[in-house]
Amino acid sequence: MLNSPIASSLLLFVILITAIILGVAIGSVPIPPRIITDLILDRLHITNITIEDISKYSTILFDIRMPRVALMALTGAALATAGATYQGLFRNPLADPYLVGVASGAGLGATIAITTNLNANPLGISIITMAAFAGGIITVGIVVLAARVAKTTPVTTMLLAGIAIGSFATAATTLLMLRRPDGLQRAFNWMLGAYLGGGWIPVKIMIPYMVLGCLLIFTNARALNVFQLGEEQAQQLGIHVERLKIILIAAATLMTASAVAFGGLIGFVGLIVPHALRILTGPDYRRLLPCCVLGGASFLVLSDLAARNIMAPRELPVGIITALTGTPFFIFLLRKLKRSVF
Amino acid sequence: MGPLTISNLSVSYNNQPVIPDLSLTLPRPGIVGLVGPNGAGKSTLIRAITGVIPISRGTIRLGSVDLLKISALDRARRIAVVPQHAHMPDNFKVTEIVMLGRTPYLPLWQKETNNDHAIVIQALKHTNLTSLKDRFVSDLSGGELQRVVIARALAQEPEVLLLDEPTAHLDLKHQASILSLVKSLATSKNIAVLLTMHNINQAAKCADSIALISNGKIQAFGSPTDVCTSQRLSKVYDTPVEVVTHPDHGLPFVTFYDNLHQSKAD
Repeated sequence: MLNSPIASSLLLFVILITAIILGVAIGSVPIPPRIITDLILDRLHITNITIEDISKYSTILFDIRMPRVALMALTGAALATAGATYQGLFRNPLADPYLVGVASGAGLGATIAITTNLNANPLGISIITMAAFAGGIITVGIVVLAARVAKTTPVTTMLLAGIAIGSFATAATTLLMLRRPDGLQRAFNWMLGAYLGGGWIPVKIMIPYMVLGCLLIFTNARALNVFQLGEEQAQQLGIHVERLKIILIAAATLMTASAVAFGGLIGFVGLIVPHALRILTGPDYRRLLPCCVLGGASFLVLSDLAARNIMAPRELPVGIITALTGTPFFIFLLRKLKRSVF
Repeated sequence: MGPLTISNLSVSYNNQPVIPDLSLTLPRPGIVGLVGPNGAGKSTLIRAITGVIPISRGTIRLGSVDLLKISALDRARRIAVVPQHAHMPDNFKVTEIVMLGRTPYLPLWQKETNNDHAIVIQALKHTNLTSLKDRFVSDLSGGELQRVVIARALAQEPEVLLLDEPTAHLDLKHQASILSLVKSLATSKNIAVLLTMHNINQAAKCADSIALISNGKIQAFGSPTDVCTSQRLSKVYDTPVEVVTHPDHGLPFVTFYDNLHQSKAD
């Protein structure tokens, strides 16, 4: 555990910057760091590029790599932050961002769009994305309503309702796939987190959800600490427990649904990153949550870098990389620690 | 600030009245021991006072303040609870848990002030936890944990302290130390204390007065000697109870009549 909160955030910040530089520099066409600097300075009108042939990198850098790295950073940040929030809210180390049905709902939404061959692109966003986002939000809404008893939403009931309704949505997804096998490959790809492209549009759409979600969650970071004492004690310390639950679930769902809609179902980030960071920051959510933004972003940018390059020119779904690399790393951390981190 | 006054309180679970009509006054400073059989409504009363469960009728006042009309935050600045089963997250340190008691005084964004730290240090000192302050709560014994919960409650700077079975699961030495801690805090911090206990003898020793509760009603309220009569306790507990006067301090000493000895003699 690093003693100073500043030191741990600074370390993660440096890691993130390094990850971003590697992410934009490495690929089928490598871009030397010097050229990246030149291109950025040119874009900012600080200097003018005189050599003609480096401008060919311009499209690759600004229209392909940068938006992709930015989307991965946002997605990783969203999943890790939402995961940490759910682990705190459900007081369960196994909680991840997909716990209350956002993933299975988004999967159903996307599969409906894929198998009905909806190919419209309103507003420049794929209809699959929209259907996934709507499916995720609607499913969480149903779970919360189903778990509501007499003005309270007990977390255990919510967890069980999430599993039940999630299974229902997954079954419906499978049924749709079996009926329309021609969409199987696309649906399967989406589920493992295949990058769908789209340039800067997904990034621009995701930023407001991220900002709003983080604002709501960070504001309640101290309340999440109090929540660790149990709901009744939190209430006796003046926390509006029911309000807090709804705010946090809404915030985490918005972030996760927007991440999943553009990036597919990327696993492990939301589960593993918060636990790994707890080793660095300790249990205090006021320190953990900002570190999740930085750590989650770095982890997914690096995973995506690997996904693009390991079997180049073929691209792997990033979800495979997060699972393959995240799991051994996590087991290593668990074994190294004498104390339970959660 | 005056005493805590509960008047004509009524609480129901699923339309079943658990507390039909209860009135009780907790003097400040002072300790009231709440004793009674299982399911009499002791924990329900505590939860009703803290606003965790809704009450269907009655008033709860602290001095002139109507506790049902103030916000949860305002209430948490006045009333602290030591619950029967305090959940403790393992990976927190003692100081961090005690600092959570400052929650009602801290707005969402604000960092803890020097004043908050000073209050936490005081609370640790009062509960004799100073040497353990950097330990993880998962490494503490049952008696130490109970002191952490009390320290956290003290950090709330309460006017009313409600303790639900604070000595359950503790050995004799720790039972004695917790009760003498509660007794000294009530006077030194000017707190109205409500203490629920199964052990009537300990309640009689620690509390200034005893409230005997059964079926959600206060059956008797007064000095330990007045309340704890063999006839009354036998009726409330629905078992033959023997009350003798303790030879040293003159307080009632309660035990159940058993047929264990007789059956041995037979």
